[in-house]
Amino acid sequence: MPFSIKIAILSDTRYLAPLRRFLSAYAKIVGRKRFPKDALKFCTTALIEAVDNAIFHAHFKKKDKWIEIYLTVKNNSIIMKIADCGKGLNHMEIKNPCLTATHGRGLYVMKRLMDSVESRFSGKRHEMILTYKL
Amino acid sequence: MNINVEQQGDISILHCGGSLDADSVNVFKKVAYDLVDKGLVRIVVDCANVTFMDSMGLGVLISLLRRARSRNGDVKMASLTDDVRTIFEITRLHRLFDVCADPQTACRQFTKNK
Repeated sequence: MPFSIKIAILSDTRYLAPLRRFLSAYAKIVGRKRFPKDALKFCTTALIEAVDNAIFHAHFKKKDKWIEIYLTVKNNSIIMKIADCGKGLNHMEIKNPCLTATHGRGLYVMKRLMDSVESRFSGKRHEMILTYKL
Repeated sequence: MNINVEQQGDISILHCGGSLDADSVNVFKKVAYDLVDKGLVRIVVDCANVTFMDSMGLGVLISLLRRARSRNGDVKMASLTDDVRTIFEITRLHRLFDVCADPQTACRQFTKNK
């Protein structure tokens, strides 16, 4: 049976640490069988990268914008949906930047850690859907 | 993030604790860049107590590395936790930085290269 939670945070990096603790608590409630430690490690990093993207690139650090996060565990998959007011990015163009670049690794990291990374734009809202398969 | 700076001669060891992420990069930057501005360009970043790092944390480390190397210094990483090691390896940054088992090994590397 799916286990889903939805939360909303303001577009502020102060929420990154609480968000990590929230995901850890969610994983505990779901149970280690359905949300193992390794999955938690990878999902935490991917989630924070997605939220960083929303804060800096979708909302341009405007702290009054909301980011909605949906977490679902179902059918041996952990699905995280991060919704913001941005326009999304062209995922096909995302590669690991050169070693000495100081920016631009977030999407690449998400793609390496998750089994799938999708981007959907629907008029006013952009959603990043990250899926980790057990 | 909390940072404790230990000086061993002209080598600065930054003992970092907590997360190096988008929320704490400015704290790290202030401490680390101040050292470089003072001419202390041989830096060891001790990650034994770093619980989390995101790509913005990586970015500030690279930025520090570029600054230090532009002044004939270097930045060495030490005591990477499993989580930090994972993100380093995914992004191949273990090839850019000298990654050492612990701060003392990193300091010896500096002395060896003098």
